[in-house]
Amino acid sequence: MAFLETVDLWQRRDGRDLLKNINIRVERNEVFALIGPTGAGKTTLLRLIDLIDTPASGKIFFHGVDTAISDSARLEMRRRMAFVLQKPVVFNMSVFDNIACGLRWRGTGHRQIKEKVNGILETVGLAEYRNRNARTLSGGEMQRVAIARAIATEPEVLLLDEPTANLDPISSSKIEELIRQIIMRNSMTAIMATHDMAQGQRLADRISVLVNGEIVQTGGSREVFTSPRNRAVAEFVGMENLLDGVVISNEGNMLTIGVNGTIVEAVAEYAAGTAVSVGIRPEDVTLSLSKISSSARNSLTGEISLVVTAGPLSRVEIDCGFRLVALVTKRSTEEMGLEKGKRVYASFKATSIHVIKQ
Amino acid sequence: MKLSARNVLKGKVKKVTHGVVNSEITVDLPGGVNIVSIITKTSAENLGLAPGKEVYAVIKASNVMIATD
Repeated sequence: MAFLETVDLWQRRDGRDLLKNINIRVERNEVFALIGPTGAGKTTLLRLIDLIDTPASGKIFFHGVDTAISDSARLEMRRRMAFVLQKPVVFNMSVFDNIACGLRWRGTGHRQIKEKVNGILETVGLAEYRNRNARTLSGGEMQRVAIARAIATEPEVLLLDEPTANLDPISSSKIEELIRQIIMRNSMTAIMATHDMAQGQRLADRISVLVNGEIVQTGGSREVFTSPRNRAVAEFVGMENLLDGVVISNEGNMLTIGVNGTIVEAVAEYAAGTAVSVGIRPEDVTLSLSKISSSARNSLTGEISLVVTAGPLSRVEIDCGFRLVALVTKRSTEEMGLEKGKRVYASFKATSIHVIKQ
Repeated sequence: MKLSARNVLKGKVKKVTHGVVNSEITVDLPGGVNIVSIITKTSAENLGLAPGKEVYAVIKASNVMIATD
């Protein structure tokens, strides 16, 4: 039995389907991320899971219990969850009181509240701001207050909706680190929505990709990144070399694929004539100045059209019938004199190519 | 051989195991370290890989994982 499960969940508004047939299972102590572009339905789904909104159809089970059985059961379950919003909500009162309010609503004793809130203030690094009015804080600090208030009631499930989307990069990475620490220390079950694939990968055990109200893929965070199921997911996870082609032949699952007049070899199970997208990760492309005799099935030649170096790595774009991006070290770029206009050979293994049926 | 991969290790093929599509090649590096490569069967055949053949194991720096105890 899953800790939290949605079964055939639909949500409609103004005659439009916001969520279609959502089935997710989240296990206890798991960190689960909903990833997708803005408007995909992530917040809508979180609001259903938090039992704030009622679905058009479908069910949500918490510990195997249907959350729709009664209003009192619903309230009881709501109290075991906490929701951190994209835009932090803080009340016009001190930081201490902001964090304490959930406990006060639940009738927790004075001394217990003091002890607990002081502990949490240390955890979120706001001990010095205890008496300050929360409205005077920066965005990142306000989000700390909101997270502190959420965990003060010791929820079993922490829901996070784009917790860093409104913050500058530095505050964003600090909040992310705080979330990671809190989830790990309290071995909490967390469901987070984010449009940031990298953030999802850093924080989550498993990921569901949501596009246009539908879950298009669920899997381990690495799996979704390396083996996207369709073109929409591949584009979303940032697979840079994504080329459309047609399978020309399949000999024992060794494919030759025609891409813009160039032949690419890959290992997959599609029959001749199938329209496919070929995904090549830039870090899997090796460059050389002359043709090399190697096991890599693909060796294409072309002229470099762009070199961008950032830190220890260089991004090299090659025009070889299509645009191919390679990621190599800056040192290799310098030693080989890679620059615009230079002719190079780009090699990549047939086994490293990810083929998606269109 | 001038190529962008940072690691080009010379060794000798120790073992070749063919699968249906892929082949597993074990390369013996100086010092007795072995490195294993999965390549297509076609490539293994084209390169004439057999025990004793001198080869280079090529690994991009970005593909090397580091672990600690």
